Amino acid sequence: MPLRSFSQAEMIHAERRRLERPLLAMIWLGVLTFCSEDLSAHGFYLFAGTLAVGVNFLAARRQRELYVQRGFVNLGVLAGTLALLVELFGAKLELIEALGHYIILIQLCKLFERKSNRDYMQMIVLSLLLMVAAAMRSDSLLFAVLLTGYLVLACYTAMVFTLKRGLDSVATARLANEAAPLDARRVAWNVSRDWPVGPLWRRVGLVLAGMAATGVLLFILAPRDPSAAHAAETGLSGIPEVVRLGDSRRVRLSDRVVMRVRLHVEGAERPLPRQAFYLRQKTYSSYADSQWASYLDFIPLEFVHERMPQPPPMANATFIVQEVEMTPYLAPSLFTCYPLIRVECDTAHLRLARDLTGTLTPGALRADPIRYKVWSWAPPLNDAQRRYLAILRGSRRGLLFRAAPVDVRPRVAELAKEWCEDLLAARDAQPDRRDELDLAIARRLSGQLEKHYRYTLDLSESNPHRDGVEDFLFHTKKGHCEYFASALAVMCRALDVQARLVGGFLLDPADASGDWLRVRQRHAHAWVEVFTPASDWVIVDPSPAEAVGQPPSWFGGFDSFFSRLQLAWERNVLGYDYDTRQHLADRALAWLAGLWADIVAGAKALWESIWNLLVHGQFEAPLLIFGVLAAAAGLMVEGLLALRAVRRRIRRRRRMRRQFTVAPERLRFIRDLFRLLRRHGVDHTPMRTPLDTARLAAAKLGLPERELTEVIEFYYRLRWGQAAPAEAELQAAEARVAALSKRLGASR
Amino acid sequence: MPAQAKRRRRPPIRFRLTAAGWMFLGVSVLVGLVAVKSQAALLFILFGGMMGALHMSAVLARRTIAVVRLRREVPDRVWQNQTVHLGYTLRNTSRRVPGLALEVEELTPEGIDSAAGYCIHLPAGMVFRAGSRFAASRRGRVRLSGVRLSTRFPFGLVRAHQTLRHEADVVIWPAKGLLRSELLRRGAVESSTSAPSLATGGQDEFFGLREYRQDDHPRWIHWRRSAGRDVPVIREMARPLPEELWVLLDATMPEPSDVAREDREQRIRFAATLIDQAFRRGYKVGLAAGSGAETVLHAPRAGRGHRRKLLDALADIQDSQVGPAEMVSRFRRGMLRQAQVVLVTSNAKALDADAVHSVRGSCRSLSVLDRDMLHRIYEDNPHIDWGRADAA
Repeated sequence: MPLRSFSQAEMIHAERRRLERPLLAMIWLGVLTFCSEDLSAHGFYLFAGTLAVGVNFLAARRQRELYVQRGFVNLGVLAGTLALLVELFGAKLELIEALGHYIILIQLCKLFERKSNRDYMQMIVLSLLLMVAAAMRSDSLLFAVLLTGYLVLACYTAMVFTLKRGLDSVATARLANEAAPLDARRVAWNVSRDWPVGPLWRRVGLVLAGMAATGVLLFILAPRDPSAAHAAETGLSGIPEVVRLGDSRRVRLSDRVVMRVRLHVEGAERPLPRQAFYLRQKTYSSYADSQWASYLDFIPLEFVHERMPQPPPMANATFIVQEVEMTPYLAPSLFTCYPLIRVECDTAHLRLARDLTGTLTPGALRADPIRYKVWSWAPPLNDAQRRYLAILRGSRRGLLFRAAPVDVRPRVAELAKEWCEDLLAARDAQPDRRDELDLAIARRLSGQLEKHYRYTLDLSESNPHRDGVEDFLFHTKKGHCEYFASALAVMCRALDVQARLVGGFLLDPADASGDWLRVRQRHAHAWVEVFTPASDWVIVDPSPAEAVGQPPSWFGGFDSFFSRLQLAWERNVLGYDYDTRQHLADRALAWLAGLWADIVAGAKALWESIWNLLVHGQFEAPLLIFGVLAAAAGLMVEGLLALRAVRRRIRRRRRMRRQFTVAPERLRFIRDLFRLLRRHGVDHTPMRTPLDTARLAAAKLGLPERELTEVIEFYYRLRWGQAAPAEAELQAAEARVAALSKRLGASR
Repeated sequence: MPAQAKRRRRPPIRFRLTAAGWMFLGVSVLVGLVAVKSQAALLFILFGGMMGALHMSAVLARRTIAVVRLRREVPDRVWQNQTVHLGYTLRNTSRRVPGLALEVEELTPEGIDSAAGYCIHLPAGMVFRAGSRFAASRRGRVRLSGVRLSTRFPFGLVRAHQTLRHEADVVIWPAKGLLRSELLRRGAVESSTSAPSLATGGQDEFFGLREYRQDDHPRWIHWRRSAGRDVPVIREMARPLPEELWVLLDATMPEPSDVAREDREQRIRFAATLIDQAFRRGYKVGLAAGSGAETVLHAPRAGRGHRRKLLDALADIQDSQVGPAEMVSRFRRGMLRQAQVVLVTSNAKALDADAVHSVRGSCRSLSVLDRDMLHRIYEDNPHIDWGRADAA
């Protein structure tokens, strides 16, 4: 493969390397952006593109050009065309994808061609077409970021190419009476040798700002199809309104703090039990069509004074006390751990349900956090406590959910039986150990789920047409806490173990600020409670360890930040549809209408104030406000004018400094001299030179002419000389003028 | 108080989409249609970005042109088939906005081959000298009406241009050729220096020394005085009376054909070459030539101004119906008395014998040159393709 050196002429007037580098970077970034959508599918093209660009880059760095015979290039194009046909008709790829590959192959062929301006133009166009194709396939945030970087490079490359083309056309122009094109060095003389890097990048910034503004404007105003409603493809971590499986949204973690909780144990010196960290919001007992529902056949308790009746005094009762500060946006949910015994809340109206969940409705719309205090019994519960709880539930055994339907698929039931075969046999054989074995079954199922299934927040592979639990257990084999908890609860119910799904927050002991634990949206969690008469409701959490909230490390913080960005991108950009546009338009119109109404009202009020002042002599507030605003505006204008004058003066001083060999303020002595002479009747006018004035002054005022002329000549040297004077000379001149002043003053 | 001068309005800046711009617009519209069809958010943004790029192209191009002031320097006289170099001073009047990729193109009349000048970067507040050029292929006058300042920056999609009216005339003198033999034998050169001049009857007095000039005879070099000097000196014996040369140019064409036209042009070129040489030798030169229905008559004079006048007259010669006889009839008695006359005509045999006799009798010497004789003593510049140069 021959290498050809750039000729000197090309280096001087073609500035070829200045184009090749950004062009190669642009081509590579375009290939990367196209392939980033699915690296496994486009890996070969990315590799080939990187290799080709890298080789060319190295060659350009050494001011060489790498090229092959035209025949080989044509063969390469032919091979690319063949590959396109194979991909379209053989591999049945999408048209856009196949075209993208084809464009990449053509670009690779052109990289090894002997390049002229026409080839550079073709490479730029091909790269732009590749990006258009990529934009038709991908809409992720990563793609948008890569596209932004690509546009920056594309703008710069296009500008450099425009400069180069103009330069080349001038350098190669030949008139009819000229034997050869213009000498490159003559063109170089005619052209600034320093490449305008700074102005080019500033222009890139300006163009990108214009493009972004136009792009956003057109994006907002472009016509949208009213029927194409956009379904949100992402969800945010947090407490859902409905627990539904099979939702293929990707869940983004949010670090927003929604609650602060302070825990301690009252009545005994003991560490906090595990259940203290599970804050329940809602329980779900009925499952059908991949959705959980609360079974609402019990009567909620209402209390006039927002306090529960005190339980009967129980000896050695140990309480877990929670002090909660909750953002109002979580209302009306109440978050407590189980079993809730007492609640104190002065700022909201409380309602409790028999499953010991509840609601908090703030008395008035307020932005302050809702504060409440909760007492719960610490495990293990004694008989009296269990009886009290049963009374609260309205049932002796608390077996409220026999009637609550749970849709158990046969495969799910078979799997559960397979996992707990021995325990089921033992339970059948030893009915007196039922409570113990029920718990063991729940824990066995939980362990199996933890072991064989993967935790993920990306649910894009889930099939909404299949039962959520079945899809999770047999197909995707991955999911988040709701899937794990749902699977456990359904499998428990399949094996006649009383279980329910519980949603709420799982506190992270490491995420604390002093005594208070911070509860973030990412801490939303789902788990299972299993009921046995002996133990009451027991928490069984099947989710793997990574489901538990980690304290935000610096990397975790970045990940969370990126998740938020992704969410914002998907909701505000990709989810922008007809309804959103209408909503935005309505808000804009309402704002404008409000603004106009304010302006009209303000003008009316001002007019009335002026009228009152003129007619009744009353000075009112609107007039005062208007006066203050007008004064502020006036001050601002004056400030701007003053700033302008100052800047002009500074520029003038700089210009003068460039002209003078000494700072203009050091020429004050000549000004003082002329002022002195003027005071004594000798004016320095424009019709006289300074030397003439000096001689006249010497004659008229009897001053020593030699001294005066020496001062003037020194001034001439400062004004028009090339060398800067010594400090001593300047001081001597100033001293002379002072002496003359004293002399003239004395002579008076 | 002097009246305030009227502020001259700058001509408007106009825009034109280039071929690449049209293609870009087409692709943008296509992307827009696909965006509306697919409702893809990113395609809407891309469409908007592409339209923004077009818009910003126009805005930046306009901004670049609007801040540039241009002053032109034009040579007023050039020889035929030279490249006319025009100088432009570009001044950026803005304090912040630089000018990039400025093209300066002279608006030459149709048929004139010209090449534009280019300024890649004109920083804010700076001055830059650029130049364009055109080929002076035909003699005559080229009226330059103005200059077009344009730019395609930043992307080459939109071309913004502004036509500035700067009228100027460039006179293109007929091209100089090579004289193979000396026509000006009795010219001032030979009768100057220490050789006795015919004008003074051979009794020249020593006048002084002067530096050697081209075409001076080396015989008159004063070697002693020349020693130690960079340029030799020669003796000048008398202030010679400059000789007079009349050039009578027959600019008629016997037939309206390309050959006849080419012959006529060659005669004009010969006349220009002869006049130029005569002036360099200190002659007083006069010219008589027909141009249109009139006779152009310039009495012999010396000096650069007169030289320019004669060469301008040659540049302006039109198709003439004035023959040599009519030309001669315009001469007053005694105009040719001391002059050497060179009559250049298309066909010496077709000349009016009485007119020729009349001229011969009233001048010092007469040389009649027709086509055949011209080819013997004169040669056009061999480096020029006259077919192209003289193409109408």
